[in-house]
Amino acid sequence: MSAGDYIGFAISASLFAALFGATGVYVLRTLTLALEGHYEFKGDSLTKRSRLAGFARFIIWAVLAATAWSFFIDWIVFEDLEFAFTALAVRLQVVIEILSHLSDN
Amino acid sequence: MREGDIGAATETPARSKEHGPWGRRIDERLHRKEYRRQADEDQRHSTRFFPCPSCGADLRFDPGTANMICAHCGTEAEVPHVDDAAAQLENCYHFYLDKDTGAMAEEEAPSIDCNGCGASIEFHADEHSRICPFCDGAIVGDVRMQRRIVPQAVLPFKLIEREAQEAMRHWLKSRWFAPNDIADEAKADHFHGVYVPFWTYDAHTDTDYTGARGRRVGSGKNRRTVWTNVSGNVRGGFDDVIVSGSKSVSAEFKDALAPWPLRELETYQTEFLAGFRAENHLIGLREGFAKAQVYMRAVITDWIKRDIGGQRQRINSTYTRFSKETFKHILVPVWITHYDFARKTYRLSVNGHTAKAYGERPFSLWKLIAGTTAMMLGAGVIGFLISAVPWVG
Repeated sequence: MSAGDYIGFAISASLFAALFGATGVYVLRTLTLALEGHYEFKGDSLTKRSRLAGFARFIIWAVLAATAWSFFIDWIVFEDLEFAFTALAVRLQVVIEILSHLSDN
Repeated sequence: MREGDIGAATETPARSKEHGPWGRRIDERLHRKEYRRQADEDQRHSTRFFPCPSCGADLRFDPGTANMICAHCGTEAEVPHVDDAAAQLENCYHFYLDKDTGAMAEEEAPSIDCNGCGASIEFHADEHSRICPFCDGAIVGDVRMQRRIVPQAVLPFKLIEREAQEAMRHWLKSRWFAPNDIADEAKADHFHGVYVPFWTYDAHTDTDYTGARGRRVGSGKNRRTVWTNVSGNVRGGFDDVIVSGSKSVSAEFKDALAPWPLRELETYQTEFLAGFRAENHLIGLREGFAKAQVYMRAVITDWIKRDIGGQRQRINSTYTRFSKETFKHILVPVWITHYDFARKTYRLSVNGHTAKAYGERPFSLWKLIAGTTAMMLGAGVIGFLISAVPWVG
């Protein structure tokens, strides 16, 4: 990897960390409320249903974050951006499959 | 026994026979004084004051017991037991709706509308401190008599204020990602015991639907969903769908403070309200049922999806017939407070019967950042494992 590649990697990784860090705070907040709602709200109610959406947000965030991580690991380990993008495309297809499967359930 | 039976015999002041140089004026003044006193007495009667038979101070309902107690001398008076069947009586929704609730018994209560949150709260004319229990705002305005539907049942308070405070502390301590010192630092000035009006609805539903059942076929890029049109009918009943009749107690608070032990409802007696506030209902019978239907339709959607079956479901149209709709109008006990933490005010309520607490809460930003960092590292480990798996690499 050239110096330019390293700078590109550093900028991309920083953007990734900033984006997922900021959304992660929001996701963790909604996950906390969902967990509290799950344990505290007795019986079925519309509020409980809306709270439980926090679990879905967390799963989507976690799957996307793990996929993005795998892209950066591929990029830095194999020092090949093109390969990292190809692998990312394949994984995103798998991710979409998993998420659509989860939405079915 | 209704209001006024406990210590209702009030002494009528003896008319002064004394006449001085200004005898007539004195007599007029005394007359006016007596008139005012009589008016006050009438108001006390209508606003549910129960004078202590021993000292004349106000009796108030003693939570957790079936008694009223005098805070001044400790005299106790039993709340008379009346027929419990009336508390569980289901009223025909359409009968009362057709009469535009005119068939329901009404009573007058001295109330003020809060300009801040819109709550209509019972206040007595002689109360100097007028703070809205819901929004904690100062209330200005005159107390006026407002007509309201008499609830058929009441869930009496079981918790005293100290127990509500303890429930609040316990609730705050058990919050995840909350500041460490919240339970000790959160300062609640005062708890207001308020009876909040609720509607409960029962209904039988019969729903016709059309939709489609999806089946996934193929794999990889060729994976797709094959849809088959379906139609059907689902039926089911709802029992005691609770809707808040208050605009100040949101659906979120109502749901969070549940369960409300409706089996323990007592037939409405004003004695249960003595010493507590009661909110007038602002959401009417029809509006309340519309809110109940929103929940019922969400449940019916689940029934339809289950009935359709398959891997995916689509609902194109539904037509629901509601029948056997009945309702109850009840009052439930809630301790309401506001606590201050880090220069912000948070609202908190405690179920006055079960001690279940719920409220707004602060999050510790540092804890959230630490938690997010841990989540990012966890995602990194999973990302590393994913990149190490050859079939996705």
